[in-house]
Order: sequence, then C-alpha cells, then structure tokens
Amino acid sequence: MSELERAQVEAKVRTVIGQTFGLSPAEAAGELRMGNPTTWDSMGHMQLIVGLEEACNWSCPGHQIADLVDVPTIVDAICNPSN
Amino acid sequence: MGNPAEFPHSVPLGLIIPADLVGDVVGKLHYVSEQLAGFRISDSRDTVHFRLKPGQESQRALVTDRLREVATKLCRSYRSWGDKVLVSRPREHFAYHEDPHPSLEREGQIFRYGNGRYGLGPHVVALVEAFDRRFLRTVESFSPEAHQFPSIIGGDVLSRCRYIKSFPHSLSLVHHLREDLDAIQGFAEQAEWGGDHLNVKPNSLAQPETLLSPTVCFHCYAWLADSKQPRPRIITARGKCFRFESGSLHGLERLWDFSMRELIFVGPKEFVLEQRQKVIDASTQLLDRWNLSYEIKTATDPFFIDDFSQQSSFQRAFDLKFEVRAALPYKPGGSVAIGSFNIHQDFFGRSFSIGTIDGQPLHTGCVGFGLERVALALIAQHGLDPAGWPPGVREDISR
Repeated sequence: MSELERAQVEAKVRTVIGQTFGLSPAEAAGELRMGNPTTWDSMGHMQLIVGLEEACNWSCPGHQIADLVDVPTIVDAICNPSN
Repeated sequence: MGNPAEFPHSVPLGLIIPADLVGDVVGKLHYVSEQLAGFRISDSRDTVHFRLKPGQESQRALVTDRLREVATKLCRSYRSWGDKVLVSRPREHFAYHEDPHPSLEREGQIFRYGNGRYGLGPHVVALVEAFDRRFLRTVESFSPEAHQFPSIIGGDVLSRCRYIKSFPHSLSLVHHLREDLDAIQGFAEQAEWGGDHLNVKPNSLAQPETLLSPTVCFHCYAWLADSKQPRPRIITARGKCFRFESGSLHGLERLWDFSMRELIFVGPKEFVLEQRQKVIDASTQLLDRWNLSYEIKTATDPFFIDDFSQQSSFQRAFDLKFEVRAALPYKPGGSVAIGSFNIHQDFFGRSFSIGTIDGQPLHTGCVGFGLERVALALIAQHGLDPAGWPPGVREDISR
C-alpha cells in the first residue's frame, strides 16, 4: 500500500473516530487513543470497531480488537488485513 | 420442525444463530413477552417455534416481531472467538450420573420454596461451608480484608456503574409501602395472595430506592467511591446475590437467590492482573483437592439485548472474564459455571471515582464462587452419600 493510500485510510479512521465520539475536526486530528477522548471506553471501543468495519469495508478479527487502541495500530490493521 | 401441538407458531429469523450463541439467545427469549408460554429453537437454528398462553392469540404478531428482534440484536456483529481454555480437568467416568435434584428433595437436602428459591439441608450446607472455609484458607496469603455487605443495594450504586442499563432483565426491585396512613391501611385491607403473585395496588408502593444486590463487589466500590487509595486493596466478603433469570431458573443450577464468596482487588492494572492469575492458580489447587471435573475458560456476562453484542465482544477481546465450568454428568456435555475470575479494567475506578493519590482511576478485578453451584457440582459428580465424596472434601467438612 502506498503512502498516499495509507494517509487516506488514516484520514478515514480519524473521521470515524470523530463521528463515533463526537469530536471536532481539530480534536479528531490530535493524538487519539483508547481513554482519550474519555468516551473511548469499553462500549465506545466496540462502537468504533463496528463503525470502522462499515466505513472501511473491513472485517476485524476478534483477536485484534484488544490491540487496536490508537490510530497507527488501527491503520496498520486495516492496511494489512492478513496480519 | 417444532412439534405443532407443542409449539403451533414459528418465526423464521432470517439468520442462523451461531451455535455458541444459542444459550444466550434462549436466555433472553424468556423475556420477550409475558404471553409467551414456551419456545424452542429449531435444530437448524434459523427458526423459533413457540406457543402462547391460552387466550393470547391476538399477541402472536407482536411476539413474532419481538422474537425476531431479540435474535437479530443478539447475533448482530457476531464474531467467532473460540474458547481460550486455561485449565482442563476432563473425566470420562463419573461415580454418579443422575440429576441429583429429585433425590436431594426426597432426602430433605433441598426444599423448593418457589421459582429460583431453595432451602438447603445439612449435607448441602456442609459442602457450602466447607468450600467457603477452604477457599478462605487458600487465599490466606493474599491477606484480604474481611468485609460484610447488605443484601440490598442502592439504585444509585447500580445506576452509577450502568448495571441498570446493561442488566435490566435480572433486577429485583425492593419496595416498601408509601409512608402514608391511607396507603398502608388500604394495602393491609386489599393485598392478598392471588395464586401466583401478591395483588398490590401500585399506588400503595413507594418508588424503589433499593434493589436486591446482584453481586457482592459493587458494595465494595461504593464503599471506596470518591476516594484516593494510597495502596492496593484486597477485600473479601460473602453475600447473598439476586438475579431474576426467568425461565432459565432451574434448581441449584440457576437460583434467583444465591450465595457468593468474592475476593476483590483494587489497584494498578498490573497488580490486578497479577492477583487474578494468582487466584486462578490457587483455585485450581482447591478444585483439584475437591476432585472436580472442570474447565477454566473465557466467558462473557449475560448483558441484555441492546448492550449484548458490543459488551460481550469487548469482554472476549480483552480476556476480561474466565469461568470455572464444572461438569454436570446428568447432562451429557453439560456444565455449570461455579466461579469466575474477572477484570474490569478501570471501569469501576472511573464509575466510582476510585483513584490513585495523583488522581488516576484505579483498576479492579474480582473472583467469585457461587457456593450452591459448587455444592451441586460436587454432588452431581460424586453422589449424595458423603461417604463417597473425595477425601479432601470430607476432610474440609470435618474441620
């Protein structure tokens, strides 16, 4: 995957995180990880995973869910779905 | 096909219930409607066959829609996880194979008062007490602080930790009468037993402040609420717990009113994780001493319909819950959860503002054993005669 495509995925991920947790565009562009925003808690985490699956036409394997706690890790998982 | 005489109505679900979700779906379908008299999921797991109570045929369309709604919501976003088994103690041959409930009733060792309500006789009490004593001895090295909590719990506590939203179906509300002379006198004159319920005018009841406590550890978090803890805490308590599980209530397997011994951890994440593993190891020794056949494996809590999919997925993803499932030889392949080892991450720390000195939310975890279920598992595997119970059990009873 090219850097451009990866950047597009990251933008989409940040959009979904922003929509899921009601963030402003500036907040969604900042450092995001589980616990920050505080609404990214257990319920929020699963809402986010479902939202990402729909938006990115991607299926998250159960064993990866616990690891997807920040933007770079999520982008990696979506860009490399076989991992 | 369902037997048309037994279940005259059928709902095609438009999906196939995953095999490992059938138990969860069955557990929730009991709550669909008071007009539902019985149901069965088809072998192909794509249809629910059901019957309505007499005279309730007009409710058929509504019940049909609700059955489909519940199945759809529970199966939504389903993921196949596979069980993570930490400990396995299988056994091919058991000394006893019968359902012990009829014999226990006949011999005066249990008494059924009503749905989910049982009294225990001397042999069962001896097992309950012996297991509790031995468990406390097993975890002596943790130096737990002994506590005692009430059987009723404030609605504020259950609301603060989302229990009311996540488990509304199993709540047991506690009412007293309104502090009003007319209401009390009217109640005394009018309230009467209606055959299967007490006829009560709702306006004689005060709004509920409390509920029967569904678990032990919530009291602990409420006790520590809005505090900063300078050091990790380990607390133990035994209490009565109450979970209304409707049509799933069955003998000592699933009581409305049961006893639980808990060990509760409050501290940093690593501390809580380490304690849970230590208790799993210690409990394994205890269960082996009692010569039980069991597995310790991943599990989820019975969240209600709307929270189920996401909350249970989260628990599985983070290995938050492991259960001890003891074999029930009278149900081929069947088992009952007799204990659980739970991590809550910082959920209760945040919900109850329990923090470190510098204000970071603390993590919590708990271990709980359902004492009546332990007794049932022992009797189901080793029989009713104490002389036939494993030496470790007899020794623990005699101490």
